[in-house]
Amino acid sequence: MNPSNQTPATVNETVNGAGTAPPVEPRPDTAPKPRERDASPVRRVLPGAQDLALIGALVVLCAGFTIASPHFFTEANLINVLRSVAIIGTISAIMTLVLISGALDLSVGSIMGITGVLAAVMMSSFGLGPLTACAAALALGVVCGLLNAFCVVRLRINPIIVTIGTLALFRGIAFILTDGREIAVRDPFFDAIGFDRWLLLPVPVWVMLAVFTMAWWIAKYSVWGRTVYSVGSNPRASRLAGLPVDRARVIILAASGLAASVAGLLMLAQGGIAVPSAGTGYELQVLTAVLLGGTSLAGGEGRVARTLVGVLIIGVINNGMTLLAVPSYYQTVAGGVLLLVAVAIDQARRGAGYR
Amino acid sequence: MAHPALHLKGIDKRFGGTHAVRGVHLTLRSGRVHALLGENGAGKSTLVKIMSGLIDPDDGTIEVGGRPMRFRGPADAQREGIRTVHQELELAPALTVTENVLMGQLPRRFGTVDFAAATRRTLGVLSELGAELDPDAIVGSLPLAEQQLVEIARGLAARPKVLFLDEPTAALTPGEADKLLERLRGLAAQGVAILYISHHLEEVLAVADDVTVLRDGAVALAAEVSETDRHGIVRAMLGTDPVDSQVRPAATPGGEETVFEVHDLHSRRSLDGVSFRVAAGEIVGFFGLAGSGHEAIADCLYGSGEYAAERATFSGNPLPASPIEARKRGIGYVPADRKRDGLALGMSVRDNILLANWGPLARAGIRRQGIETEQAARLARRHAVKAGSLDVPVSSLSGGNQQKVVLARQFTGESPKALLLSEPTRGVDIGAKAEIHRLLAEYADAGGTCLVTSSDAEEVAALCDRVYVLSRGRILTQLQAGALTASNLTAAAL
Repeated sequence: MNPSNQTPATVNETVNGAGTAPPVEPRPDTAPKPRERDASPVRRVLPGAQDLALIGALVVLCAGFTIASPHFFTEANLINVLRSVAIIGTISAIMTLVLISGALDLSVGSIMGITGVLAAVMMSSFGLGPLTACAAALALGVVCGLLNAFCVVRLRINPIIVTIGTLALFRGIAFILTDGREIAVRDPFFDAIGFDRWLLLPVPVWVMLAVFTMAWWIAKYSVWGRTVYSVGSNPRASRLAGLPVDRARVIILAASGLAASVAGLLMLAQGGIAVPSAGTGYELQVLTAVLLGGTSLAGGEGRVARTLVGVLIIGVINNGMTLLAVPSYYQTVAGGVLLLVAVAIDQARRGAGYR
Repeated sequence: MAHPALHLKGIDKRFGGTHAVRGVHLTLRSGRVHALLGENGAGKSTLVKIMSGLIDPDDGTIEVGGRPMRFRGPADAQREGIRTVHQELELAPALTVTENVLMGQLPRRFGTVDFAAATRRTLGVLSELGAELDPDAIVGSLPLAEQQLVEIARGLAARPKVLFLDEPTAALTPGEADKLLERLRGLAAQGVAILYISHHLEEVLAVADDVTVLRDGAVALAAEVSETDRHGIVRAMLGTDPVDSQVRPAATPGGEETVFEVHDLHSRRSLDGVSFRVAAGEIVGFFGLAGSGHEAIADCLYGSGEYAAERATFSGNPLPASPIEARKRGIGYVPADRKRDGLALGMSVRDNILLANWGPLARAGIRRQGIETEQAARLARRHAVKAGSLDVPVSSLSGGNQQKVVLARQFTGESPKALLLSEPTRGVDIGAKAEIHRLLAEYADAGGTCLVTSSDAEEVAALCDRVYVLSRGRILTQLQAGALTASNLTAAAL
């Protein structure tokens, strides 16, 4: 590419290829300095503080449960924690990108249900192999996401409304497909996904970590990731600047559908049974994790890595309370309180809130 | 003679170091239409806020029907029968005409709304206005002109003694405006004292009995309309005699190459048959008072606005259909409202400079941050962006530096062939304004084409080679060379 040379004030430097960056010496008085660490202490330190607060909360929780229960800090139990969050974690990683883009996907729980059911039906009723069934389920997840995207981009409906609608739509179809029945799946492939371990960790945990790594890399290092942030931060300005705003929204919602179908298959593999109501309410657990990680519902802000910490906090709390024999109703209460407190602290820190 | 409906004596108001209103006397009488004129910043809106109880004056008295009053809030003024119809529509679009007209004063019966009585009252008010509207229509579904009538009807429903109208015709087509003016005369005949604020001199001359002109917060002219004329009013507004503006045929001081050529451009509600040609290397201005239609031109040329035209080309080909296409074909755009349309405020200066241009700097979709930083630093330096670091959020910059970021972005790829700029220095301090003007002049000297739409007469006079003056969606005249001065522009646009 050629930087402009048309203006007389032009600096006659051309950027081409990697690593051949010509020396830049900004005038110290006016020009901004790239990556000056101490330039604005407040702005530079606070995100770090937020990371610390999140990780600190996780450490304090773990320490507390370790003291309270001898069973908490054991290899088996910690792996249990990871296994228990693998499904919502897989969706949460992509949901972080969805929220950064300024959208929301409430249909993920229903997509889990419908894709799991489809895979089971294809195997039990049509005698197809597990790989074919998985491929079909993943494709269905993408189709569900594309339907959401169509409503958002073409019909111009708010994504929250769209996915409230498709939440019911997909769930209903899942029940129709099985006539409300559960379908047992006995298959070595699914058993392997559900119960095998690679290098200590169960397969679903590896899947979650892979999806997180991918989402983190996209957000940080890909051009498309910058586009997602920009679209979420200001769609009007992004469109006027020449960014493909609608294309970005289509891709992000399709990816969300895909992630939900992966989660649906993981659930099928772990349970060995396809239930049309599978994944009910998961959209809210996923949102809790993403919001715990400090991602803004208003778009344009958020970090994938923080969502992972948010997911782990939820997993640790649920696990610890179970170990302490706290009834599950109280666990639900704790989850709600946790979210409210975390978001209130975050809003106060940012000095921004609901208007 | 009876007491005036509203009488201001020696009203004075300062905001910090600004003396916004200086010893203003103003008399509104029942049955008469009084026009309040003045350039932007002359003190009109401060005065209206004082009269409607939103601001307390530092000095002076307000008399209503001969009694001195002190307004502690807008409710006090409303109790005295003073109503204001604001320029921005303040309606509830999802409610019906009746609910909007009688907002806050719906008739009740047995604790519920008496809809039959409400409809009767609304029909009564509307017929006084001479407006034929369905009282059950949803306001948001009505055309803008009818919404304006609903807003005025709400003012009337309270049976005001004094009615302020702030630019009531700004949203209307000429035909609709004429009808409204007729109705205002009818209202005055019923004994209402009307204060009419407008930029459009022709309207004022047609409808008003009295006129007060403010300049720098003080009364520059107070007279009956029959005692003065257009020339006298303009002189009072500007403080000097306008030089006679010369209407010249379109000249082409720029290069031979035509960049934009537009014949008979129409855009819904804002442009009504505009034709122009812009050549390479020119800086051409489109000037008008707020609402004159010049604001819409850049959107049409950039592919982000809807329009119809007999012929509209960029470099000999049809205008781009979308901003993406416009960028590809070498058109840059600096929008008027940088916070709404120009910047991703939460993102860094670097990201905002490179916005939409990460692609060309990356390899296979993967960002090369070293190159990004180097490119952003180069552009920031060349456009004199003053920021602590490229990593601070762009929202922490001053307005002038934010604007330079948007300008710098236009040069991230190849230099654009043409730049469209709307209000390029609105809300920008003097130093940054001079720098932006210098950058644009350099760009044009190097063969670039600038199209500037602005409501700032001094800016277009200083910056442009020639200027089209617009009013009500049409080009009135074109000024260039010696005739291109701020006072001539303002006079031509009135």
